[in-house]
Amino acid sequence: MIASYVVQRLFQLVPVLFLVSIGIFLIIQLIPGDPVMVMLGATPETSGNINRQQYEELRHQLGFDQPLPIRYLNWVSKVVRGDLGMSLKSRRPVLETLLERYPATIFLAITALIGAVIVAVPAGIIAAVRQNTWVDYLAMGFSLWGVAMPNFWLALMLIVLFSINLGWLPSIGYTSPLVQPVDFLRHAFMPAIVLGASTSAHLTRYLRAEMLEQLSQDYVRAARARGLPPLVVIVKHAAKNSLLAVVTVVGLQTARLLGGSAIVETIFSWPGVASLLLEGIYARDYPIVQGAVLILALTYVFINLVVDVAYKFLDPRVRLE
Amino acid sequence: MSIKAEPAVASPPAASTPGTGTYASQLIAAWRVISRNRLALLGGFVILVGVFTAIFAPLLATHDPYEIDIVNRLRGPGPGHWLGTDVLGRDTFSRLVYGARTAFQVAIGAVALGAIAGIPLGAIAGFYGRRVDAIVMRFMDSVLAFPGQLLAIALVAALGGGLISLYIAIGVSSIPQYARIVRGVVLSQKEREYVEAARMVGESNLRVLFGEILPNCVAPIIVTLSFDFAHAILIESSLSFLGLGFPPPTASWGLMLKEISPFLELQPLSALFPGLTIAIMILGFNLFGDGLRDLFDPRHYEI
Amino acid sequence: MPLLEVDGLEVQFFTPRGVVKAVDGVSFKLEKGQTLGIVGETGSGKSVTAFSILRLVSNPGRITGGSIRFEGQDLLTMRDRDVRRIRGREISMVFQEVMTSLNPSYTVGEQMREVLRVHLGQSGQQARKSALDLLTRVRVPGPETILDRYPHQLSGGMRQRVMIGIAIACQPKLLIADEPTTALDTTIQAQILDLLEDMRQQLGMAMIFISHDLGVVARVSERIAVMYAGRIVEMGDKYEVFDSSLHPYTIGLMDAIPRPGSRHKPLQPIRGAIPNLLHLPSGCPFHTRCPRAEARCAVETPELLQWKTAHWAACHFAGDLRSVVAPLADPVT
Ligand SMILES: Nc1ncnc2c1ncn2[C@@H]1O[C@H](COP(=O)(O)OP(=O)(O)OP(=O)(O)O)[C@@H](O)[C@H]1O
Ligand SMILES: [Mg+2]
Repeated sequence: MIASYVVQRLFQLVPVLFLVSIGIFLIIQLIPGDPVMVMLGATPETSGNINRQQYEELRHQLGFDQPLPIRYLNWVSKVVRGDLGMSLKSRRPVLETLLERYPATIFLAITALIGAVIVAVPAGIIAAVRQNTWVDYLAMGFSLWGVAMPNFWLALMLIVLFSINLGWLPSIGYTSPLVQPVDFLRHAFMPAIVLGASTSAHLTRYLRAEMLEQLSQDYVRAARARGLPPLVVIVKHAAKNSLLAVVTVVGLQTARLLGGSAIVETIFSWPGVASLLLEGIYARDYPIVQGAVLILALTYVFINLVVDVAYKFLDPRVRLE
Repeated sequence: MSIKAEPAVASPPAASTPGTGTYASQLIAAWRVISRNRLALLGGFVILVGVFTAIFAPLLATHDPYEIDIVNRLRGPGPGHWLGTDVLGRDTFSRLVYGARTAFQVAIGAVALGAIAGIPLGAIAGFYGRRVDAIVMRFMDSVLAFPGQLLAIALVAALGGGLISLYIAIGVSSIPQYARIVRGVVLSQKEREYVEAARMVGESNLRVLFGEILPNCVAPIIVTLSFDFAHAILIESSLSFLGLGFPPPTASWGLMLKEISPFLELQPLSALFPGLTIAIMILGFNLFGDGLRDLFDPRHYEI
Repeated sequence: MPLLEVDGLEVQFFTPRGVVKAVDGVSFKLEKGQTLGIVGETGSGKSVTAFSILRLVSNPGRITGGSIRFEGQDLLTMRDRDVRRIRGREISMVFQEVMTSLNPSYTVGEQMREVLRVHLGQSGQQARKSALDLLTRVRVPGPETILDRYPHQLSGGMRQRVMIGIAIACQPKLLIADEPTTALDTTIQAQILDLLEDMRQQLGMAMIFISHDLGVVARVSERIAVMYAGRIVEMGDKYEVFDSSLHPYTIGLMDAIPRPGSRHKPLQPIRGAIPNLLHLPSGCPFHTRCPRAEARCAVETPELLQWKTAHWAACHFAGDLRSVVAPLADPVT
């Protein structure tokens, strides 16, 4: 049943999370040369100028005076307790900063996903029903282009159009949707389009293919043979089953959304964790980098878990096993 | 490359044209599918143009891509500079031409790394099964636990710039794809008679693997390669755009966009062309990949 | 006026490899309450003929010629909405694909009520009661529980009963059963055949029964049409077609089925392969496999001609065959 499935999935996650934690731990260890020097912003030529005491302090804080496995264990045990270390730049706990900026990322991703679905569902269904007509070609053309177009370029083009030429929308800034929903939407409009474009394109293609598959199924023919109206056959029968299949890829699409948010948040100065990640990289603030990668990866893993479970719940063939 | 016509596919008996089995007629059928698919041909053409440009960049460029000419900065398209100039007055067209070199240089390495690491991993996982399979696939899962673009960013952050770290940063995220494909094929072929037979007559495991099983992976791998190229070009330009790829003044499409982005008000057209170039290149690989997939899909051989 | 009148029906599939003539000039009539059995090897166009009657030929297929009259109205020129009113209400269909002809995402009850709602305007308790009645009628044990089951929870035989229940929901005048038992176990097959026959008699429906199994067809139909490569090659009263076959193909089919009385004779499958509909042989499509073929068979296409009151055949030698039926029953070398 569902509960046991969730438990089973959680068990499967254990080794994955273990490996993920090693990966994130290694981010610092992989830095070529002396990581401590790098984090202090020193190049080989300027390394002589570094304050010895500052160097030793950081080295100790990061645990570089201990062997690798010990360092890992120390790090993990702290992470599990919610201690992600201190930002080298702001000197504040990493977790605090992350939590502060996490909602913006999630709100943007959700807005983008909703927008993507609102466009993709009708587009995919209509394209399939009108296969090989101009509507279909139009939808497929858009989705091919949506997949191919780099998001940062789309962002720049939208800024040129909406902010520079028309002056309709702000190109930077953020307000919480919980406080000022309308203002949030104004600010989120362009970032959400940019972030959701390729997701929408993928979903459209996938839904169209799935819909064509369903429309060729025997049960659709049987439903038509019973004299059911086209709308009932298409929406109630074929589309329901297609959407069920689409749920499975929504989980994978969050990879696109979370991955893409790094660029989108940076361009639109959106104060989320993904732009925090890049700020961390630019400032060589590795604890921040680690924390941001960790939280984004966990989010992704968690969403996939939820989607998997939701799928099991939605499909009667599975639910009633 | 061999095209496997799946014999077990339930095709209506009437569909079996005389001589479906011969190699020549398979080629003819393949050509029919391809030539009917004009979009795939278009994709192939775009790829060819891209490769050609990358190879013959010095011959095609109209200017030195690194030649600074402040007086003529941020020009729109015109006779002197076909696609205008950038912030430093460098010729956009020539930089795009050289940018193809950068893009392909990175993409080839990254794609190769993904395939070369992923194929054997998948083969080993599928062939030995059990413990080995579980371990390998958990590794793959943990790679997949990072959204692809994020993984690339994190890896570049850790490894620093440079060609090799770009290869790794971009290539690692596609390892699981190849591993999964090969593992799937190996698992499905392992039980087939001819593999059993080869084992019976005492061929070594490795020879069975490479001689009998891997040829069956060729088609899906080629398809994946095409999509992977598109992906690699996209990630390379994204990283460059974020300033995590090659340092300036390298001619890289993503970097060109990064450099122009603060000056959008002054010359939006300078941002138009690099983006179009990236999109068209990616579109080319995607269309070609779609076409190949249709081609290799046995269902498409039926009437 | 006959209930159903199919005249010169042609259906073609426009595939990338060429045009497939799946149905090539099929004509037959069906009176009220009559049963017609259609037999033929796989790919001979039986299902396509059946789907044409409901105008459900799907891409890349198109009905390219002929007419289909139901109670005098031409179904092929009718408006879509009028055809929909006939489907499932005047003409119902039961399919071969037992496992997949119900939507896996809805309960049996919902899929039954849906038809009652669309055609009879029933809803709520009334529709539920009708659905229960129907399930009882098609002898589904424990109909109340079955209503809330999903298709995957039912056996093949049970699903086919549900399908029959849906098909007879509106008391149609014509039931098309396209190999309704092929996918079922032998024991279940007999039950479903009995059920169909009972329902037919109770409701006075006409029935088109399609099968590649002569024995099954013989059991339920009064008249039989034998199809080969998209054409009817022999048609007539059941006993006529069986006992004095006029077409070598029919004779071949009968030799291919094991019969109790002829156990000593080895089973004789018809030699040769079913022809490719893309490249049909010239002349009589059967001549490449026909034991009696002569030179003219490769040139002249025989027409479906009437040889007796209730017996048609499309063979140049139908006239001679009448007298040589017995010798031909022996293996021809
Ligand atoms: N979707 C399709 N595309 C192309 N050709 C088709 C299609 N459907 C049917 N055909 C052609 O129509 C012919 C007749 O098919 P049909 O399904 O009527 O055969 P059948 O007599 O019902 O066979 P079976 O006993 O297998 O059900 C087939 O041989 C096939 O060539
Ligand atoms: Mg059939």
